[in-house]
Amino acid sequence: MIQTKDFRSMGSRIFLVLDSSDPQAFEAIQQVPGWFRRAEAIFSRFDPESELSRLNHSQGSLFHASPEMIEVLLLAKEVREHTDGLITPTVLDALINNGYDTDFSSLKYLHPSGGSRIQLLPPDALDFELDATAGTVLLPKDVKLDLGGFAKGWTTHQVMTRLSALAPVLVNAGGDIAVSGPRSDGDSWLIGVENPLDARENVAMVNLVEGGIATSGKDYRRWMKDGKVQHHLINPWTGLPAVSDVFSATVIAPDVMTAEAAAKVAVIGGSKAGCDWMESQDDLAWLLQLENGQIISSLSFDHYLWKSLEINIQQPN
Amino acid sequence: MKKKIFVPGATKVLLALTSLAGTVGLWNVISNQSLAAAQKANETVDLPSSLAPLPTVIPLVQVTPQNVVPDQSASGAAATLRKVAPQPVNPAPNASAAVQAPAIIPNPVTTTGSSK
Repeated sequence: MIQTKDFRSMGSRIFLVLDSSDPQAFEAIQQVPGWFRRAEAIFSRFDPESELSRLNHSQGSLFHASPEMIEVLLLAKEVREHTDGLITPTVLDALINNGYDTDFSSLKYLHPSGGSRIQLLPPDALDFELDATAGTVLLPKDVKLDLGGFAKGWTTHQVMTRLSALAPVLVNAGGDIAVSGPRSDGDSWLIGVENPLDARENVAMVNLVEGGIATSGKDYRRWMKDGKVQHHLINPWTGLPAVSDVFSATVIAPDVMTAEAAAKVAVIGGSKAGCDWMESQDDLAWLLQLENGQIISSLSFDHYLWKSLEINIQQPN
Repeated sequence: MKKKIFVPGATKVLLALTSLAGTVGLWNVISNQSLAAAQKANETVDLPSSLAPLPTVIPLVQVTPQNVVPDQSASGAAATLRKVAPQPVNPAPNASAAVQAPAIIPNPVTTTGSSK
């Protein structure tokens, strides 16, 4: 018997499944919304009282951070280093300048034009100092952080890890999915990959035993500014929403945090650079939907496919 | 002294026949009851699981004229191959069933999509 919980937090729909009828597991699952609320209170950039907001106002002075904040900043630094600066938390000003300056639920209607484009520094210049042992952060005066994707992936992984002590568990935070291991009957978890052009359909279904799967794309978090469609995946080299031939990317990785970052690499970097980078990494399997409607996937993605649903998946040349 | 009573022969025969008929009838009634009891007991047995599967009506080895070898020792006369009727194809119950049925798509536990 499975137990589920469905609620909204961190700007996303949270859905989790615990494969157990144990009363202790039922007790634990009731606490999960509270865990997400705590994470939101720390990492939200839209809440002026959040720890992240206070950190972003501390520019130039030493900030004493919570253990959770230190963990996510360490993750962000590692991803930034691993992706040569392509995926970085230092894009908050760029997001705001491109119109993503309020909670996305308030942003669905056209945003009034205005705001100036920032004068971009080279991405390497936008960094912050972190002393994990002392628990302190130092933001330079021209740097503000957006930890949205990092924080959501990290929280998803944390919740999955906590609940996995009780039973097999799946946690889905707005499409970032963490899986603890095989289900109670030994089966894998069947997960649909939504068609970015029609959420009622799946373009593929995968069997995942453990690890993470995440999708990133230009299809949902987008808005209009100055008569142009904008989206939330910022290219740090231009400070603008990424222009690439990848419309949506789904990545399977050993953990959901890696999957989330890799999916962004594919969308921002484009199919050529993105595929090259993903192929150079260990244990990544990916499926990309390109702007021209073509769907391509890695050879390793076939290993996870339940069955191709009448789509023409191709291997990249 | 007890007086001897005369019983006619026809009466003796009638008594003997009545006794025989009663014995046979009683036996029949008793045996029918046993049979009914046995049948009742059998009704509680789960037949599908307790019986061996019935033999299939479809032959496992298809016989064709090409793979039938005549028995040369049967007679000196030239053996003629017995004609084997072609195996009829079972008609489909309806026209749509003859078309390959679409695979049943299971419901996924959840889906991944872009930052919903």
